[in-house]
Amino acid sequence: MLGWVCAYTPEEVFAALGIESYRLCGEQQATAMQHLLPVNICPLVRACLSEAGARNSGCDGAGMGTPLSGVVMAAACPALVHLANAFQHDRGRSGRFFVHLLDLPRTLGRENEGACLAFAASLRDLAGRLSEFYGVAWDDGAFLDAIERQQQVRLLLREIYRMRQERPEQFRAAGILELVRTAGRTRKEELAPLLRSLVASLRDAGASGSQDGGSAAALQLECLRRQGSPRGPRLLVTGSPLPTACLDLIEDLGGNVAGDDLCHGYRYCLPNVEEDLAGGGTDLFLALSRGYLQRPACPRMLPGEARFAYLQALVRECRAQGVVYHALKFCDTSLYDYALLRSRFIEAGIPMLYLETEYRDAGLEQARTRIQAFLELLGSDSTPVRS
Amino acid sequence: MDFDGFLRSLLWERQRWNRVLSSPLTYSLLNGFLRLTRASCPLEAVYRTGLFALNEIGRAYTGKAPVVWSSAYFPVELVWSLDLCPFSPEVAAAYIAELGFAEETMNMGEQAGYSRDICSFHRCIAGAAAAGNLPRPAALLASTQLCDGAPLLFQNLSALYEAPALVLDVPYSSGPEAEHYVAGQLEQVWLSLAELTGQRPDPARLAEAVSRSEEFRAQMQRVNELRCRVPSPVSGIDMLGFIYLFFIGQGSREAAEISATLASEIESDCEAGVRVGQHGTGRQSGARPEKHRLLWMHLKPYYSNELMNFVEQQGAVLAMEEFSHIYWPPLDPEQPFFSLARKLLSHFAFKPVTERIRVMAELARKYRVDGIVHFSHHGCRQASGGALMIKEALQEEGWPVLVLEGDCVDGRNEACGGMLTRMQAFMEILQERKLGW
Repeated sequence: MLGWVCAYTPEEVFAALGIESYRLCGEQQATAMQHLLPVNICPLVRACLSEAGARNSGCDGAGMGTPLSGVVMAAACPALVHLANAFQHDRGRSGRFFVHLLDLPRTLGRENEGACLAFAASLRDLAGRLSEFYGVAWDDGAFLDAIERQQQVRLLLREIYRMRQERPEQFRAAGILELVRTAGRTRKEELAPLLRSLVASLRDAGASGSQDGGSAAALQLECLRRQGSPRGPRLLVTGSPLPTACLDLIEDLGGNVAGDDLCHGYRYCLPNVEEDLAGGGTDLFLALSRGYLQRPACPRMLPGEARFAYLQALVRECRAQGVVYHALKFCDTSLYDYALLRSRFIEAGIPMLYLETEYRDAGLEQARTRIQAFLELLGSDSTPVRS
Repeated sequence: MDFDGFLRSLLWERQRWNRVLSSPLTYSLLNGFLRLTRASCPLEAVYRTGLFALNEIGRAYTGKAPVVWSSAYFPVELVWSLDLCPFSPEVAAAYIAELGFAEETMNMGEQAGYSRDICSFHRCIAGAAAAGNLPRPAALLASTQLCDGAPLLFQNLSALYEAPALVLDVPYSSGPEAEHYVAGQLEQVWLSLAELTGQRPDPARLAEAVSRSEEFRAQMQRVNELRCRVPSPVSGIDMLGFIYLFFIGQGSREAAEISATLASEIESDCEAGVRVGQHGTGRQSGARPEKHRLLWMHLKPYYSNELMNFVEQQGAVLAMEEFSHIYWPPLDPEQPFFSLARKLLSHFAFKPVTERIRVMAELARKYRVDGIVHFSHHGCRQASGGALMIKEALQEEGWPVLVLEGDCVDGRNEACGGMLTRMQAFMEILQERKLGW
């Protein structure tokens, strides 16, 4: 079982080798391995470190499942690099443990074939190291299957997002994030039928979720559904990963999350690997690299003005009346991103609320007041922003 | 009155900054003042670095050449080869802190939307940029090695100045593929920079810049070898002042000459038994008593000299600093882009933390230090993020290590008294070890 964090991590490579993977999200309360990282570093990274440590030591008390046999960390930011360092450094660990820092090129806001080639090389290197460590031979056929299954899952998730966008008052935003997290922890061949069942249930408003997938689909449906008011302000949520309790709070206070641009949310669904890869001669690593890199760039990729253009289009598409920007304390990527976006959103006349949390120690009560004020500012007028 | 005090008196009011800094008279006055204080400089190389920095700042503010902002570790050899004027906003932020204007400047950065949790160098730059106090760039050059924040900041400031930001994306891995990836970008950046600034990209000039950079490298290595001696022949605190040459000077004629002067001076001083006194105080003869030899990691507070003065008052010397270490292989002027790529890819702190640990342990042995201090600059995630692991690993090898949390520019983040207390306690530990307790 391989642990991973960043949405640029290629699960397809793991699946091709038959290795199960688990997306670390740090949502459980744990304190393992905290002595390895300073307090002034990303709280999500610290939480993921504890989650992995507790999982592997079995001292979490809640039974977290299969211990990790390794981690693959995309070198997306210094915090993730140090997370990889911490796993490498951990003296308390016994036995073999795979730690890999995955080089992740920056696309710099343009079609960047050099970056795609570099990432393809990085993926190939990862595949080779995993193959050697786990003693599994590489098979292009299995890789192709893994790519296709992952793409299927993304398409199904995007359909759920599309439905949510139409009627956000009927969807629980935190439930969607939980679904995406589940996607990062479940074998895709098991997940796809569940998602298909879920999509069918959501389409049919009267369905009780009795399609194949059984009680699992029904349970997911319950986590997704809510009965909000369509008059509540429509919002786009962006920034760094946020505690799902924050989304529940927004909705409890009358807001409707119509869309998100989050690593634990819609960004996971964005990669678009080219179709028809089965044709001979296709470099699957390069196809996968392009699929991951040639998508609307997150701020880490230094997209410049393209980032605001993308968010502005998303605001229009979601018919959002305002934007909630969430930054994790010490998340430099978000903190610098916000400084630029703030002026852009002001110029464009799009109301924006800035929230900062420490992830698990969410400071929800401080957030409550600010969210409440923001929603009051937006009012119950359902007119979306025309920008 | 020292140089900083004189400059502070000229810049006492923010509204005067642009007028003062863009006036050639200012640089005539400052040059004159510097020459008057030449005799009190601990080393001729320190004086000449000051003169070099002053001239370049003057060039930047008086518009004598197109100004190009360059982030730390960006290979400025490219800039020198195009006869452009490199400007380091990080060095400017350090100097703003030294002059006592950091708090006001950072407040402006925070008003512009920059959180207090990000690097104070960058908050200071953002504030000074928002106030229009920095020379307008024709382009901004940033490397993702070593600092992750600089490309993010430069991207934002690119929008403010309507000047393109050219970013070098440097991978963590090394090897032929990584070298090709980086070398290709270096060539693209060089050509783009030439086009943007209307300069002619001359391969011969580039080879010349790389050659000078190699001269700098060789001379600083010579300096570092001389510094192995006990007692230490030069103040490590003064050596931290040469960071200007490391960040802005490589590839310039001046940096090559100054480094040669520095090496010769130290060599002569060693042979003559002259010792350099406390930093900034000039030469004195006789052996300098050294109670403790320290390896210093990262930088220091620039807003106050209290900590570093205290270190010296306790009889400790910086036998070596992380920033002075020459880690990159020789540069080949015939292969400028690949040489610079290898230089970028070889930084030990841009690799798994085990490499930084290995290099620090090696330096600790080579310079026969008694202890290691990691100054953890508050907003520097890449450096301070690994500090606890570095401490644990080096302590296992037997080195006393102090992780000193502080801030280079923002004095509001730390109470100096707390830092001094921790440093004193560390010195006591070192003393006890010496006495075998």
